[in-house]
Amino acid sequence: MKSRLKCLLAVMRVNFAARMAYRGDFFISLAIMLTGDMLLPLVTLLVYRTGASFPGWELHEAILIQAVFTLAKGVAFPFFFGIIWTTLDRVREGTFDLMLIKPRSPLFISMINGLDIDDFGRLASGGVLFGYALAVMPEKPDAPAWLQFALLFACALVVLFAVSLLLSGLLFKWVGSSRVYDMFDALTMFGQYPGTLFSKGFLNLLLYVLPIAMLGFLPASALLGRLDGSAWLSALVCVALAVLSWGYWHGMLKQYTSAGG
Amino acid sequence: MRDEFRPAAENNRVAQAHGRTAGNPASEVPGTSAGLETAAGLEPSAGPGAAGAAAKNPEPDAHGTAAVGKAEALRRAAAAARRHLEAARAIALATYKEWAAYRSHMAATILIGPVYFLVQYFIWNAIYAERDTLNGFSLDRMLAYYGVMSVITYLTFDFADWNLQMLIRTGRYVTFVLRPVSHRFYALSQKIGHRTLGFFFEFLPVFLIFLFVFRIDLMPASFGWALLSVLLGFLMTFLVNYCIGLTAFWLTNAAGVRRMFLLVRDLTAGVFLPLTFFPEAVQKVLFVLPFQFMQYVPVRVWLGEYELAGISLTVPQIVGLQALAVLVMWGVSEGLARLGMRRFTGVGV
Repeated sequence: MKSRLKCLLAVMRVNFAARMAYRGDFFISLAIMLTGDMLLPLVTLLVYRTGASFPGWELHEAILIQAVFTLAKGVAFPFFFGIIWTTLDRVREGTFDLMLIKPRSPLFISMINGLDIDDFGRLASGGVLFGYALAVMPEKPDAPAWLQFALLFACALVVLFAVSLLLSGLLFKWVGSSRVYDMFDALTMFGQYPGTLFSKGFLNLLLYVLPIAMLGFLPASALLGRLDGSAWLSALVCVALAVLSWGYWHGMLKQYTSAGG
Repeated sequence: MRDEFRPAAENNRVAQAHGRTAGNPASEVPGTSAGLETAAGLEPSAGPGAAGAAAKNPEPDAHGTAAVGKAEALRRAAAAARRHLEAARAIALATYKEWAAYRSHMAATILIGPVYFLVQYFIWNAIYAERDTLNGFSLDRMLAYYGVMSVITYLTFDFADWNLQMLIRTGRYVTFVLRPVSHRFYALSQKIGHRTLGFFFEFLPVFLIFLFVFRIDLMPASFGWALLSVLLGFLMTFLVNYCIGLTAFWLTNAAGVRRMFLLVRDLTAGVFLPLTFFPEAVQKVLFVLPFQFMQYVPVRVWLGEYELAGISLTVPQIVGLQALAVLVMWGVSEGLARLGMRRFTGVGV
């Protein structure tokens, strides 16, 4: 664990130094990410401004769901989501072989190679939005609510990790397709809205098959005191999904035929 | 088409200023039509036709000379236009074939497009459960707005900004300086090829899914005006993106600025929400920005009505305004390209 942490810090240090060569662009990128992540809450605000609303949800509640989603992405993107880019780029270039001969697991090496300093902007924007959403909550959450939130937020990260493994695994065969990012954005959009907006059957799909609802809706519901038992069953599905995706990724890695075929 | 000669002639001038003639003898006589045409990779068109005309009229009078000169100029212009069309067709076809090798990437839209739309479908159905209209939109019109927005995006999608910035940053733009057509013409031709493929692999399937699965009324109010407006939106999207790409002449690594532009562009083009949802003061600003002409205007024309900032225009009026905006943007891109070329410092230039 200690050596892995050292690897991570070393990569972060090198990436940061490299990025500072274009520091102006780096800081602009951070600011843009901050602004970009505010986009969906802005759209929500504009809808509520007209007098409309998501039925049964106050503006601050809707914003909190989107803030939790942004925060989850803010943690996932800098630390492990880069595995998708590493696989996409290196399989296409034919240099993924280098990942296999390093003295750590290919998954770990892929992960730290994909570490992008720019993505810490997402973490910052997630933190800012989450802080704002908490500040405007009329009733602050109590300790049990925070505990539930922490557990469900960890599940949200597990889902994002599982999705990153699924998409990364796909790229061993679907070489060089950046459309996986579009697929991710499209599928996870459901997690940014209250689950009650969807039909019952569709919500079950988002809870128990591909638990996208865990990315924002369920952890935010814990803070709002609106959680029901379905969340914990969904949490189990998250763990199962992570195990499955882990197996899938390694299965796809075995099918990787390398640059020389 | 004449616009497309200018950067080539300008490129030629830059090459000459650095003691080179781009390996093109004709470029040693700048200012002559022969030099200009040859610099554009087009053979001087005064050849047999002109010689023949001169032989038939060995000593024409002043009036006859003017008439012949005018006819000759027209003939040359027509020949140049034809050659540019052939070049555009060849570039578009090559791009089409190149991207067709990755058609599965494009076909992913068949999943992604409907999934995005499904989110909107659920959200707006829930919102409209408590009301009949919102900001002048009924539920059907709102879903049609998002449906049309999606399919029009597949027709107008563009990444000329990314390409151009990459070429300038890496110095590979220098290879375009010496080509017989301007980079803008080349990039536009590429876009035509790319979006032709997009028409078959993205637009058509998603259009049919929206029409038959979601039962969204996607038929344009007036096919002719909708087609014209989408074509203008196609050009506007290209030109705005091209101008964003041109910022790389001033900013070495402009990825951050590009992201900012794209963000502002999508928000103010009505991709996320109809622009009439913005506060009145913001709508007035949006009305004078070029971004609404990229997608918002084509969508509203498709739906058969236009309104922004309290201004309602008929379809012909707004399409006319859109055409004017495209012309202005064309001029802006031309000006920026010329200014940028003065700063360009690719290897060997």
